[in-house]
Amino acid sequence: MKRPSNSTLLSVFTKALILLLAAKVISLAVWWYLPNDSVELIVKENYQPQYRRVDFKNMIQGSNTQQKSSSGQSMFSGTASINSMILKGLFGNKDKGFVVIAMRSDPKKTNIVSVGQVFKGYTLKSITLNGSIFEKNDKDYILYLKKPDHKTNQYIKNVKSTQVQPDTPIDVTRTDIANYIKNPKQIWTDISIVEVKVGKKIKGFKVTKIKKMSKLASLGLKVDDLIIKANNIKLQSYADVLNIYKQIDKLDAVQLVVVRNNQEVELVYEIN
Amino acid sequence: MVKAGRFLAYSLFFVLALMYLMPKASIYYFFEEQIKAYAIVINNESVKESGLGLNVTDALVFIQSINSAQIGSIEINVFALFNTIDINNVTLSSVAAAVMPLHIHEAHVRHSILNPLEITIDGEGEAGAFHATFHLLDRLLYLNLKPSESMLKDYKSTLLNLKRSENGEYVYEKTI
Repeated sequence: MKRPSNSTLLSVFTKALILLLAAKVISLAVWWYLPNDSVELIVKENYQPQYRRVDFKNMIQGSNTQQKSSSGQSMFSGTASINSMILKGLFGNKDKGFVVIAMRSDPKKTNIVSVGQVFKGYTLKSITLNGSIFEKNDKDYILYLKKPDHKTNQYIKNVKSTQVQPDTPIDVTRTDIANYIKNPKQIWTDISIVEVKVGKKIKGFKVTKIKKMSKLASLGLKVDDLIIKANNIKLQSYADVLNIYKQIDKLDAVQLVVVRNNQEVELVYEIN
Repeated sequence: MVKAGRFLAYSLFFVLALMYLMPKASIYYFFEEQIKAYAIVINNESVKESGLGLNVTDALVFIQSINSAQIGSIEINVFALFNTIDINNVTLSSVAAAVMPLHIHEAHVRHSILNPLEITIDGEGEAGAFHATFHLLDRLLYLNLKPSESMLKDYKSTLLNLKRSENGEYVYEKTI
């Protein structure tokens, strides 16, 4: 058997070394070109304030009692045009609650007017989601809430009547929630929801089906409702929905904002 | 003949050296960047290179920012002619409990030069044993599921979305 000479071995070794060097150069080039860090998930924070439900029931009932005792007499005498009023705040729902009003002449001085009270000749009839309805001489006037960053968006409309959706809290028991958590399949048996997109962005989640006689059917949601917010958080991704879902057993109240017949409606659930 | 043998030996040596020296973790990070375009992010994982392969452990998979699955380990071996990815202990998010059982014990992804246009996946979990193929040119996914008893009993509505074959297995086909 012919033994390879030292020069042959040296040649093989040199070639192997060159190939190894070439491989290393290529791998270094690849290493230089490719990323060196893992992709990390960046969760877009939702800077909307968390929903906190404040119970003004006692205050509202108190003001109603006070109103009744004064036999409808106005605490705010005098008259003024409704155009000269600014609605600064509102608390309560359709026929319970009060609003905070100031006059344009002195916007810093505010007055609290409860439902049924007369202010400058206008009776506060009811409170809507974004305004209040006053009545004078059998005519209704809507005074919209003043938005802080616009000067000209507060205006008056003379209308005969306005349909306002109720936002009375609906009671939900923790047992119902526990049942749905234990058996999540039941949720999708009772309700069907699909995402609604504007371009590539999710606008909300549309209710396409609700099973009659189910617990979910008794909660005020209707087919074609577009759920856009939950507990003050805009529902713009499945993650937003799941974050609410994961916390559901720890919450005392859930507020949903849905678009129904082109109007935003607030549904409030108190979890007992 | 000797020259051809030498050429082959040198080529094999070069390919092996290249595979050994290649920055596999960087290639994995590049892959992560590619799947991020589909809103899939793998988080929290520990990545270790091992000779010709790569081991990824304790990965959390987020789809559209939703924590969708936890993966115990992924072993990736790229041998150029035959490539494998072995995935073990996958637990899907509890949100998926409405659709299917949550635990997948193992899944094996294979790609061979002998059938270069097809990737095959075989696995087994609480849902049953499955075999899937993905045709790279047609982008056609074919899934064959042999459902477990619990799948048959508790997830009838999911199985309704699959076609039942004559042998009692369930088939799903979709072009991606």
